[in-house]
Amino acid sequence: MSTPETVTLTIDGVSVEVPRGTGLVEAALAAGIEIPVFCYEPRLGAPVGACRMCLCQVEPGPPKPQAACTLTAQDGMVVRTALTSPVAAEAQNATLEFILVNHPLDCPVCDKGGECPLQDLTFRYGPGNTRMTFPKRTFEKPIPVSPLIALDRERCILCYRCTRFSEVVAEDGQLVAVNRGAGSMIATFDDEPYRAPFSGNVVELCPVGALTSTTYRFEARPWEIQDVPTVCGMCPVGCNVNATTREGKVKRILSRNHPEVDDGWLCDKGRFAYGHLHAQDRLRDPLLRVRRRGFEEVSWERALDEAERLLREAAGRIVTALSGSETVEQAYALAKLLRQGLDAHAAVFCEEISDALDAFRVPLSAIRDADLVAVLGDAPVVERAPIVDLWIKDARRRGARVLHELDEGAVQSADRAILVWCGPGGHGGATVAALAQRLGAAGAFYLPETANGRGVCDAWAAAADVEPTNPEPTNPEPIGLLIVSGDEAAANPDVRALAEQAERVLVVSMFHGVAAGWADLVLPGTSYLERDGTYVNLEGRVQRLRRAVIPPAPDELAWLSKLAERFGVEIQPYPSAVFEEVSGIAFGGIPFGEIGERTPLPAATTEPAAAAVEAPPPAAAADGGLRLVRYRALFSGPAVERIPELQFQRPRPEIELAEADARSRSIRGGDEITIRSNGTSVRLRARLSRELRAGVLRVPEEYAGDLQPTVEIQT
Amino acid sequence: MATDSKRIVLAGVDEHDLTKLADYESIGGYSALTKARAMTPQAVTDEVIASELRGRGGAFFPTGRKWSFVPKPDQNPNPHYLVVNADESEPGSFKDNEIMARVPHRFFEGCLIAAHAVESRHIFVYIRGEYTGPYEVLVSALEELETRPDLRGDVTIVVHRGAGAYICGEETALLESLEGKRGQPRTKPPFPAVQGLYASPTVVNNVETLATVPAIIELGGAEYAKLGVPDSRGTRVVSISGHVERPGNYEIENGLSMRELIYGLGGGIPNGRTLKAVIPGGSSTVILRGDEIDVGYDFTSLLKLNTAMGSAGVIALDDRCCMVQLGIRVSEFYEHESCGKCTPCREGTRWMTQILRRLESGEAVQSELDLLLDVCDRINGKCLCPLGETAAIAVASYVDKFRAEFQAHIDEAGCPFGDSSPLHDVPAPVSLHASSPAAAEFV
Repeated sequence: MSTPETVTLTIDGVSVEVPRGTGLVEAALAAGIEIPVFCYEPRLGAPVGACRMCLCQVEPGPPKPQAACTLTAQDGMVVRTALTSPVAAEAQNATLEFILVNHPLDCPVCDKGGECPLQDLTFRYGPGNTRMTFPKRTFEKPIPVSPLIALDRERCILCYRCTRFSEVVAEDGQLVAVNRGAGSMIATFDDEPYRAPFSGNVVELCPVGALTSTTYRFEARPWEIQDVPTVCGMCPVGCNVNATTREGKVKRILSRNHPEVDDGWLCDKGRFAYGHLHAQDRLRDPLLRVRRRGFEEVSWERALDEAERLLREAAGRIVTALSGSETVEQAYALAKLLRQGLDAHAAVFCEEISDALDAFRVPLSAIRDADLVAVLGDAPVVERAPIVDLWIKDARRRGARVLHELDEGAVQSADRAILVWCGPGGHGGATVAALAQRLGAAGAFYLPETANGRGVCDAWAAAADVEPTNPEPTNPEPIGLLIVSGDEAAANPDVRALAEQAERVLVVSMFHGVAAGWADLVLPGTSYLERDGTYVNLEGRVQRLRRAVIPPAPDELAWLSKLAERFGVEIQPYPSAVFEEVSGIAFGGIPFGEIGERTPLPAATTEPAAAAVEAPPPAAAADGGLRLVRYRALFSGPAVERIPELQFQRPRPEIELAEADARSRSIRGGDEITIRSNGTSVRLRARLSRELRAGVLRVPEEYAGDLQPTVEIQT
Repeated sequence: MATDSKRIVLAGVDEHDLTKLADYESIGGYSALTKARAMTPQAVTDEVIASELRGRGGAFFPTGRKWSFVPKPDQNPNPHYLVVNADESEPGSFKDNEIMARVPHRFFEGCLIAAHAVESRHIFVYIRGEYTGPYEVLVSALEELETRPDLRGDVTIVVHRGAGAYICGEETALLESLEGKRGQPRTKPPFPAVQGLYASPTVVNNVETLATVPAIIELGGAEYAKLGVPDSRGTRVVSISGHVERPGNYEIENGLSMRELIYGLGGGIPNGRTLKAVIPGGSSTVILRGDEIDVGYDFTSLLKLNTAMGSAGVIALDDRCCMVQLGIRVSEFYEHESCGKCTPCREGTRWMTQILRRLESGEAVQSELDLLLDVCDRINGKCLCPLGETAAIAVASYVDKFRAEFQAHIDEAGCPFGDSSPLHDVPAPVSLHASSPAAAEFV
């Protein structure tokens, strides 16, 4: 039955044909048979065969039981698992007895209890009693591996999943095993906190209760929680997640592995920032500016009256500043009200968005299969779209060349080159699309700064009932009303500058303080975890958000619908209905119900990319100074600021410079250096980067002060 | 020493200071290298296959066949490596110590011949960290060799010191350690010949194996194969320790009787005591009772008694020795040296020690003796590498062969031997076991 591509083997008497190269664990799964594992996890690189849970009888092979996880299916192989082989059953039972010899069995107070692979496998394959009569091995516990992660070394079964993740996947090398034999334990070097953007994944990888997150510890039992499948709204990747809820509150975020988008990994921002939902300064009621008394909480009825008044008084002289974190449905509803009801077309998007990349659309997982990845644009990928950084690392481990500047010859001669643009000057992807077109790349990505910038843009465009006479509506002078939609827009300095010119300002915001002092009316906003609707991620994939918890205030669609009524514009308060309306215009008419839990990527368009766009900016500034790239750090922004446990992840006051630039100025890593431009200067610690082009400096926004794009290092 | 039956590896050590290049050359040293380099790599390998040489590290794998598994450079363009396992750490074995300390050039000559055979230009010698004496000897011999490009050719030799882990004598753990990682065994396959050091084709050979190679080239494989007995050709350097009059290293022709080893070369049991037991091939081998020593010291003969030559560490134990205390001693060693990677070894060796200690204390109940055997059985055949398995096999063999003595610990609620059991020098420290004063200086 075998073919050149497949092999046929027998597992517990069941004949099964699988692709050549399939591991035995997967081959058994195809036959409907479980081979139990702890250490085996294909996403962590080559199998290690450490835990010995998967011992099976395998012929041909030595007479003793074999670690099935380390073997691949071969033609004619006969595998007998614990189901049919007393030898395998005895071996697996022995492994569990050994694991439990020193395991504390504190399941009643363990967070993992009820969703613990060790419990499950012991139930199925393990001994029912203990023969261990000696004092168990004890360790000091819990050890704070970081403010986010607690380690219980007594529960640890040393499967080395966490250390392999740290070494092989995230490549941060921080989590290691120390000591030997029965004294082996997981640790960080010198007990330094595990400070890395992907640290939280080890909690999810841990097959026992050894690594737990400090934010979920003792918060819930598995039988009292519900998981809501949704999508992370913290960056443009749109990792698929499950939001675990208990009694109407989000308690944790888990990955919901989408093999084309996130491969089951999450960054710590996506995993831990859910705490912003319960922020102390969360807005629950509308706020109205009252003369002399500042802000006053008002009823929704009053707020809608005020909003109506603001809209009417502006008489069309309205500008809308969008965050790029609105759902497609919210953005469309807002646009429909303004564009169709008030003829107010002027909008400020957080960033430029282009559809030129649609011709080079590939899933993010295509990066892994590339033979060359060129990362252009000079901003750090991990800070903007963290998971993309993991895909690039995976590509490099598989032998791809990773370039951080454009080598046209190398891209042209590669079979499967992928271009990634991360940084200023990308024109929403038009630049990289033109490059991909010219150099024959297999795929190209532009990393936007916002989670749904593309969807918001499309939705805004879709709501224009007529082609505007002027395709680029300019801002009215003076601005009668500035509508600021969302906290990211409210935090944007350019939007603040507009607000100063505007006669009136209406802000939608989740938190007190963000709009205090400059808004006339503040309406409470919602979080991505409280919304139903859709996001379009950086691949162009339309993904479904599901409401995990009820927001503390009516959601945007609800009040937009009511407000629109007053202007004779019909907006359904249901995301499904709104989406069906937008979809017909912008998304090829896909029905809402088809945007499921594993959304497929729409096919690449065949239209050629937009006409040639200017070349990427040169590294060095024209006048011999250095080019400063300022970026928003991953661990920054309104949500992160409100999570105490994430503060240790905030960027350090450092400036990155290329090794060549450092060498020519005799700067060593860790030196304090002064950067200046036009009379303003900042003093920061130098960090040398191999990924940075000579002539470019990189600094997190919060430390960049008033520095201009061209700077000098004062020596 | 006059009583040695045959000297190949240690030939000339009493007459010359073979740590000096000139002295070694004066007795024909490095002529085998010249001869080998005039041959094709395949011809050298064929000669070693013809010699029936088997690995002296303990696993007894045919050396020539191991070399023949290495892909040719046109089949695998990665660099080919020759890695020498000089991490001799088996309790009872100290032969490589003496070989490196006394015939470093013969060892290097063997390395260079092997490198020629497997077309490698990179040799790493991974030497046990505690072997400071042999390390110094190797380093100065290498310094002399560096001045002789005619001998060294384009081959680089690096002597790398281990950091004190028994497990790094396991070839894949050794490779991990050499790569700068935590010393833990890898799963096999892939075998080192295909994916070894830095995922490149690698041959890992023991010190004694390589020190034998010049003689094979010199004599011719067929001639060498006339020595010894079937399946165990040639000579073996045997470390004899424990309760014998003359402990030390002795090079013998394979197949010599164990009685001759202990009573002839070793000079018998001191103070008129009787031989109670012998560990024939280092701590990880199945023990023999004192009445089981009329057996040839070779692979096939010992296999009939379910034991092995292993790394050729013969430990004699006299009638005062407590087998439970021996079990604790050995089990503690393996517990201490378990790398912690696989479950049965990490948890099982610790549990074995705990049960043995309770037996020794006299607090054990009957079922615990069966539990000990069951724990051994549950380790054996389930581990990632041989470390845990050999611990289980060795300790189980003590119970098997001396069950009455274990039973007595339970029946008498205590140890019949107590403090009089003289295991403090068994296995003895290496410093007691140099066969000549000259070698003793190095350890």
